[in-house]
Amino acid sequence: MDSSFVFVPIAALFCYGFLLMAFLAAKKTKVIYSFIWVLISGVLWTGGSFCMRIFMWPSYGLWYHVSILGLLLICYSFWYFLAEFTGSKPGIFRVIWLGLMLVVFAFNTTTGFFLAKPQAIELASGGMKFVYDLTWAVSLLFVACGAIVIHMFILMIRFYREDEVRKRQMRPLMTGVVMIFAGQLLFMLPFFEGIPVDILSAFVMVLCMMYAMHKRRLFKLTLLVSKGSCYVASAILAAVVFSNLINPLEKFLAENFPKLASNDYLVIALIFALFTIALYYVMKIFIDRVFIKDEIIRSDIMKEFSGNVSKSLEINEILDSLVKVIRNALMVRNVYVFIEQSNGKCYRMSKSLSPLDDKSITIMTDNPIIKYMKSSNECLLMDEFRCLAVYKSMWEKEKACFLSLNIECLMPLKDGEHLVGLVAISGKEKDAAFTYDDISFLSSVSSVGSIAVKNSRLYARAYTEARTDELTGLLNRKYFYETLQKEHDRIGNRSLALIIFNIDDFKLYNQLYGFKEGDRALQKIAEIIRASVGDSGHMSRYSGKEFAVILPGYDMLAAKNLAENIRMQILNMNKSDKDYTFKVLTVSGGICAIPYAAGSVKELVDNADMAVYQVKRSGKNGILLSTGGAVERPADESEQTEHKEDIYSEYASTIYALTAAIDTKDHYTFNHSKNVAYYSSELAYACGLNQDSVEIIREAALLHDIGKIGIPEQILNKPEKLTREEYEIVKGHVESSVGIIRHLPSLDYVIPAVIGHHERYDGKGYPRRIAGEDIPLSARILAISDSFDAMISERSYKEPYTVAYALEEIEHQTGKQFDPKLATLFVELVKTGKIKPDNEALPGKEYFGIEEEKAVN
Amino acid sequence: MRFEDKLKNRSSMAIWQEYCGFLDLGIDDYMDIQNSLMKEQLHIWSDCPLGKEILKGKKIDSIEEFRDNFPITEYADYADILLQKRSDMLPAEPTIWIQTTWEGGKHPVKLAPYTQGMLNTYKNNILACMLLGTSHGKGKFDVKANDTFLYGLAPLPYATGLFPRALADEIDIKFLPPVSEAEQMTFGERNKKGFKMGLSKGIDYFFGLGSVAYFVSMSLSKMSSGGKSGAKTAYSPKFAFRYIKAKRACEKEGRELKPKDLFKLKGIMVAGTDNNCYKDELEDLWGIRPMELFAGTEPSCIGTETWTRDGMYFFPDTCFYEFIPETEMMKSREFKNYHPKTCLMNEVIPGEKYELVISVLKGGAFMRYRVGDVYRCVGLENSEDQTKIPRFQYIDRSPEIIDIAGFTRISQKAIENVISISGLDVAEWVAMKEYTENNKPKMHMYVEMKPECLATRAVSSEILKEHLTVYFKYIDQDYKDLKRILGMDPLEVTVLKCGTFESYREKSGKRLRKMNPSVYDLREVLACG
Repeated sequence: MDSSFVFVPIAALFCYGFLLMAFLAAKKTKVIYSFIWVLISGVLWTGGSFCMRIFMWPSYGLWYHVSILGLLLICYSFWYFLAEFTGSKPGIFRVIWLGLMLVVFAFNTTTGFFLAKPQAIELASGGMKFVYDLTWAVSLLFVACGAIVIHMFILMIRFYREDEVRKRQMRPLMTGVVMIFAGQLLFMLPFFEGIPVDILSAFVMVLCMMYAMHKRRLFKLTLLVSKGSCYVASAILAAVVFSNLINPLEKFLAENFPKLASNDYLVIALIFALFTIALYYVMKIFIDRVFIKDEIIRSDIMKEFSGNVSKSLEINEILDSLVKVIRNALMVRNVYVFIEQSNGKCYRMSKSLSPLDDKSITIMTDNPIIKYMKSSNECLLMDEFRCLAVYKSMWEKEKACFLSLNIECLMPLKDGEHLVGLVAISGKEKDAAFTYDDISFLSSVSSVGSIAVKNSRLYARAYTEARTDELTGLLNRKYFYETLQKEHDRIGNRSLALIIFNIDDFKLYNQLYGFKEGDRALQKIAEIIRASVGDSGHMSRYSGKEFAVILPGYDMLAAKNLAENIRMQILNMNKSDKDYTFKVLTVSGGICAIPYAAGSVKELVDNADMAVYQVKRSGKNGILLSTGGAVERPADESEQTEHKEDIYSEYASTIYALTAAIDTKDHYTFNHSKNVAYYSSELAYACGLNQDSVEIIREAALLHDIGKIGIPEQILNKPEKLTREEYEIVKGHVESSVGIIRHLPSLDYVIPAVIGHHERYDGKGYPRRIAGEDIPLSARILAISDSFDAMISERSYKEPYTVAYALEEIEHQTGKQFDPKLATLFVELVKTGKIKPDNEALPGKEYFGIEEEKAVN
Repeated sequence: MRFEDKLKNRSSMAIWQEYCGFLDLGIDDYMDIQNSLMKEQLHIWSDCPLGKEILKGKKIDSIEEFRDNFPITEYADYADILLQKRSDMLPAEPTIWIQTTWEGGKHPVKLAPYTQGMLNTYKNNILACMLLGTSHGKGKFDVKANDTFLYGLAPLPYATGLFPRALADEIDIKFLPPVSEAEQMTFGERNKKGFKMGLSKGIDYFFGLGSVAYFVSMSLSKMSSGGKSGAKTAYSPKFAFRYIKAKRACEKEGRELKPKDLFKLKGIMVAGTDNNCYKDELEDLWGIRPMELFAGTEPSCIGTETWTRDGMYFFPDTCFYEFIPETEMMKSREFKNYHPKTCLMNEVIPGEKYELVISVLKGGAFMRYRVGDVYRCVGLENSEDQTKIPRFQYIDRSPEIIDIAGFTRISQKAIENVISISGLDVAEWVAMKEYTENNKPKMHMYVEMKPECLATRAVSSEILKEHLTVYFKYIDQDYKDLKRILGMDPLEVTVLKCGTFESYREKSGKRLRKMNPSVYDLREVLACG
């Protein structure tokens, strides 16, 4: 054999053998199986050729036929692989082409009709040369193979004409096919006699295959055995192949480098070592590239992640695990987790690999990515998303943000259909693309992560709810003590101040405006305290109308300044210019601090409480410091809290002036108001209200119809039915009354009663159409007294009804127009003589119910 | 990734989806994009000094509030800032300033800033136009690197000059002649050179104003017939063969050689006004129907037809579109202080005419800007190209402007100016845009001379036409180019009997609009003569 060409079949055989081994070790699919047949054919072809050339036992003729079989089969198996790869159905062609090739082989083996066994001729140089006897019949061989090749190209064009990616992947393989065909043709030319151009084309083909797999990522294989075994097997294969090269190499060295003859074994060993190392690295690169990362490793990472997140309910720990598992498995540059904010308006970055990353980045819920993620449970590649029309709605700054973070993939975190978070994954190291398996892995992480995040959020919510007051969102009383104790234990010898705020006359406020408004006031006060204290301390709703503020590190002076600031904000809280001015709320505050005025937590709380009590006693609306046992009023508090005692008597003159004004215009209303004041006061007493509340109701009754001052007399005293317009004017007196009273801030406390005295218990009254307990108690009292007096009074349009009839009517309207408890009580008071109706003493009567009847519908 | 790389690495459907995917949108999704980007634009525009100055301190929080309270604008509202290129006043830093003429404005030119975001969208849009221009169905297009492009448009700083520059960033297209050379050439030189190069390299696309494309095509016809240019020497062997073959076929058919006999165009795109006057001829000359797209200096490239060539679609991410219905448009033109109502893309009605109002997205300067173009909505869905968004047909400029072949825009002020400096004794006039028998645009002036001049001056229609044409050319470079480049003489003058207009006024009791009055009113006038 001509030794100068021996490396060609050896190299080709080695490459086919190596690829075959790799594919045998991989997880099989139909496509993989079909490709294995290509490789087996390649091994038969190149191996047969190699064995023939070294005259291996039993005879070169046998190996020649093996080589021809390989050549014919590679033609068929390549076609079969392409049919599987494109997804086209091989159908009848599978039988036709395979049958054709086998028939040709059998016929040629038996007769040598197409291409007979070559003659081995010994050369003068001592080498061997194969001489083929070429006849016209060989062209039939080319026609048969050519038909299959043409069929391959038809498949390619049919399936991949429009698909540039696949076209690029398949191009090297098709080039290889053309090279094989060309190689066989050239082999027939006398010019190439003795040169194994056919096997050279096989070598080119296998290089094309490797290129397609390595550069164009034709396959992605799952390795079933370890990479180590693969390397060992490859090394053995290399040794076997190389051992065949020792003799030719020795000969080559002796002929060309005689000086090295004495050390030829050393040189060969060195070459062998270098060859093995080079081979190892080439194989490593190839295997790393072609085979996906070890499934077992990924599976282990996943197991570890599942274990970690199932052990924790702490959101930060879960997100930390989530970030790390993605980073470790995919080797990405960064991972960012965005979690939905409690307001539901955006997703804020909550975690990333580096603590130095800017966590202020948010994604709004109307961002197209969020919309897409909400409707899909799959991971989303940014490259694909950019191709969707919906991407066009992204803001430029959002695009720039994603670009700056180098986001390439997005993964949803879902709680059922609800998107609780979003994991944004940046590009991989070495700019590798995300593969199908990466996405599958991320889907698994997404499932496990979603459940973990959901549980941790539920836990966080339950944790918060157990410790906070539902209405204000501040700490509750139980957790207040716990926090105070913790802070006390934590601060060591530093100071710890406590402020307790108690809202003044809050019961009255609730009575005046109802519990709904009372709750709203509590929320506003809580908001003021929260905004003022911020992160400097802990705030809690200490009791129904008490708030406590724990201030670690604060001394008495600092705490007092803060408390004063809060007190002033609360004082100004209800002074906004609205239609219905609420009563001004004030707070009494007590301050104590460790170590200055208390030695223990209990003492701290007791002293602060005592200070509050002292403020209450000394006129409310103030802040006092407890200095340990004794409570001292600060020197600069002189300007505060001058009111109370007889708070209402000073307004008597104003009320008198107003009632006198209406008397001059409408004497009936004046008397009516006086009567209503009497009935209301009695009813209020009977309800158990204190003196203050009764006084407020009395004053409200005196002023409740003050707005009628603006209604023309001809409407007030019209004997006929009122027109719709006139009725609307009469109804307007409620707002007019409030309009007058609101200009007298000192009388604002009567507004709730006045504004609500025409509301009905069933919600069908006016002007606000509120119902039940939402109507202030004072207004409900006024409503009964007002109607009762109107019924038993005489008016221009009606005679007075009897008291019995009026009481019957009130009972009839119980639960409809009137509060059932109050109505029953009122009827009882009249019947028992505790309320004495005096209809005869009054000149004119009014009954709004009748006015309402008078109105034109 | 450049578009050229995408062509190599992605499937044709993926590329189609990225650039033309907006055609598959439903109207709700389309409006989502519009609203989302408009919110962004409002956010940045109302915070920039330009926005603050125009809003006069008002705070705008929503699109509805903006549409309710912010009046429709014209270039004069921005002129002080834009003409001085006050970048610091704008919502975003402009990458390039584009120029156009300002008809009837206080300056000869208008300038419009283009931000990077706008340019990126512009690139996407022109690539979509390229794909659609060569397509014959969804996802079926034929665009390749190194395709050749015969370019019949004005260079930078005009908006049309942006096209080759933007395209060059995305794909290696061979412009004939190369852009850097073309920018130094006159219009005629450019066409000749382009044609000569086309004869050796072939022509794949052709883009121009409809009128210019037609004129260039006619010139090519002459050149390929071996006219005075002596173009035969430039033929490559392939084209020489084609030429001989085509020549013989033409002789047989007894017709002149047409560009389609020599070139197999992949796509021909036209823009500007009066395209309808040229589409049939262009199709006859090139063998394929031109695709119309809408682009302008202020709005950039905003609309395109598809392979059906049956109405244009507006790109959803370029501008926020509002439409003034025809009645409102007329009312607002009549009463200067009237604020016309507008409707949005999801409110247009098929068959109705609308004037377009745009807010340029992605940091653009123009908000609620009256472009001055009128469209007709021709449908809300189209089964042929399977779209579910409204499509439009370009009608013309708004009536107070007479646009001839997309070349010149003549305003009332310009005509008054011409009459004044010409010294002609024109007592009254109206101007109408009309079309010749060959369906080519013209400006028809109906004039009434002062009675006292009739005895002392020669005032025939021809004399008036010659006279006025000279002065139109004098004051309007574009008008001059119309003649110089396209060889068009678009003016026609009809002299009316003295007192015709007065008699019309007495009879009808109303004044006639001077620019493009309604055909009905004009008939009434003529009946009074």
